[in-house]
Amino acid sequence: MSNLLPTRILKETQRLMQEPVPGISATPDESNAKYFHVMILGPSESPYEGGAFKLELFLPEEYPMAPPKVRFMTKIYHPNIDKLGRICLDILKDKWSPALQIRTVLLSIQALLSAPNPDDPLDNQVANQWKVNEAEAIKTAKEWTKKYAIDSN
Amino acid sequence: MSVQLNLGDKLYINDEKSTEDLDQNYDDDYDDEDDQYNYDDDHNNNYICDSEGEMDDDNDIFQIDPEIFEYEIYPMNKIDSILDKKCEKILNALNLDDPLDSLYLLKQFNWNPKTLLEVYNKDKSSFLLTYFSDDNNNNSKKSSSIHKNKLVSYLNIYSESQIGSRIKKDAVKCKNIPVESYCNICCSSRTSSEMLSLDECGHLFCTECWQMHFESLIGNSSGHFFECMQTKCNVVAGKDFVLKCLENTDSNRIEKYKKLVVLDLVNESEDLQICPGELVIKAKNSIPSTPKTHVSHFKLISTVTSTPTVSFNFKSTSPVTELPQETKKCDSIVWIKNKPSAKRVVCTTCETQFCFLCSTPYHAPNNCSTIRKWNLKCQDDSETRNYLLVHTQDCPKCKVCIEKNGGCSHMTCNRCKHEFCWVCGNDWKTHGPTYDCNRYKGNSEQDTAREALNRYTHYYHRWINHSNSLKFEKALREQCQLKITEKIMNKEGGTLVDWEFLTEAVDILTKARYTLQYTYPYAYYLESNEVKMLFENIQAELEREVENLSHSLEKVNLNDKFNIKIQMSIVEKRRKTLLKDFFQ
Repeated sequence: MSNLLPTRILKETQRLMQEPVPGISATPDESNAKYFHVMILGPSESPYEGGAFKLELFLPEEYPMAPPKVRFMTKIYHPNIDKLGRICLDILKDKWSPALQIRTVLLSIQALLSAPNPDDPLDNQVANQWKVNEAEAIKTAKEWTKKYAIDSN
Repeated sequence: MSVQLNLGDKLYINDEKSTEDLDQNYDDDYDDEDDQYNYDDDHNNNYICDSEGEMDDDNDIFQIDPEIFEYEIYPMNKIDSILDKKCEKILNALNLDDPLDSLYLLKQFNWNPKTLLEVYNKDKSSFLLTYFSDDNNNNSKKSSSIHKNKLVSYLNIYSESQIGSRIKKDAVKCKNIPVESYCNICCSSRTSSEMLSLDECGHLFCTECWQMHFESLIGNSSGHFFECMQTKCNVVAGKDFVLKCLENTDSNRIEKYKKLVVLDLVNESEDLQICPGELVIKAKNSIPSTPKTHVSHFKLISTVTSTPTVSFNFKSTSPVTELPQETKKCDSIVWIKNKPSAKRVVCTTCETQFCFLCSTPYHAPNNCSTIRKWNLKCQDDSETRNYLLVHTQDCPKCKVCIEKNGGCSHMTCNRCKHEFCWVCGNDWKTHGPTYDCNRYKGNSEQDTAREALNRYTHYYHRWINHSNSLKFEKALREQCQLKITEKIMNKEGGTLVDWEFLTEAVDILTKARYTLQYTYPYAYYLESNEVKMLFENIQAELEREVENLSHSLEKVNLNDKFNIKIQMSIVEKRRKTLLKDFFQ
């Protein structure tokens, strides 16, 4: 019974494949339909422009009653993303609603890249730099993008 | 002599009687005694004069017993009747018809009818204007069904309550659901009967998804108000909606949800608290304790004659069998009749004794924040501190903390290479061929850190000491009962009633030790000034009297009864004085 994929996840996967979101791709793993390989392109006019960021997304047993688990695999310099790639985003925690989907979660992450929020930091050092010297922080973010999200791909 | 005994008796009995009763008795006796005192010339006169001189004081003490605290204990599933009583009270006092009004008002006053009525009685018209003017009425109460939802959520939790039955229930039903529906959560087609929505927002989802949603929330939530499943919809589902969705859920989870509802109500109510104690369901592999026959004989009698119920019971007087026991949370509800304060509650179900405000062990004369600080401090450092004291010293030169894990007393500091003697702390060179570190020389250079540590240790030692003594008090109580039985059996004199004062004495002693224990954290956080000096004087007096009584109890015979009764009343008086002056 537990091997049988819920209709909800099947439908979501189908739609992700048939009508992909611009700048985002999500493919289920061949051996595990609840594990997705995700790629998000850095939004234009952000320090991450031109970069391709790899993420992993996992749907827990309780999904959609519990939020998916998402993590950046590519190193990224961002106040709301820590060294391990964990993301500080309300809808991934207490603001989760079962009506949200993989698609909406990834869109929110893409939006987070366009609009970093140093007031709600996950990585204090990065957030601090962002507040004290935003130009310098953006410069670093661009360097990291070049180093980890463009060259190594 | 009879007068004196009388005095002792009275003092003790006072504990159990209501204060009004007692004042009367007291006054009557007082007049009689006054005449007789003059003729009384025995060696105990000093004591009597003392107590006589403090007579007015005593009256004060009993009138404002610092520990008096009225409360009732209810099992958790009687919460409905508590709310019923509160609502009835408000409905009658304010002459209201709509039970919803009483709920609404109570909520505004943290569910405390007492404060509500105080405010109401102070200025009735402005009260009614504030809470029942048309504006308020329409905007914030009746028209807001969300508000109503939250209020009604607290009714009929375990059983149909009287107030609940008077409020018209909005049936959980949805209008205009298309016959062919689609649930966006599970992505399946559903019939209209399988779909549900909250009245306030109308977001339709299938019952199965609602159920899973709530089940998941019950597992992780600390409250009972759950939001609608729709993204960014903040409409809250009340208890009735949730319970309807949980119809097919296992009963454990439903019970858990009901408990969340009760906890929410208790948290909002300033006059309610949950008992933090635990109940033994059954002892695992318990070996029946085998007390000697005369012990059980005594117990049998004692239940008949029934020792006065000073609200301070021990869980068991039988030999403690230290076996793993299966326990569950007691979860009784305490409903207080006084103003909420850091007073003692003794749960009638599990006999746990705790502070009403913070639910930790009763801690007079400290307030909740002081005892929290102290407990944290003890948890943090006590073990480390003990280790430090036994195994370490600071290097006399660079003050680095050095652990001695073996070897001789000739120490060489790892950091500054200073060589010193572990025993006296002096430079090793000064030791020379003659060993002279047996001579005591005062510590001229006291490290402040260690001084702070010493200060803390001073208080901690006494705190722990009393706490340990309290454990012996249990043994003493058992011994006491054995002794009583022996004495009666050996025809040494007296009946059970004559000897009963011994058990009372142990009660008094235990109470006093308990209070003494808690005076040490209090003193630790007191600033050094006159108040502290006064406190420590009173503390010392209490401590001395406790030790006196404790000593007298060790070898007691019937002739001592009077003396011990006097000592008992002194101990209890000292304890109350201390609490009266320092326990707010």
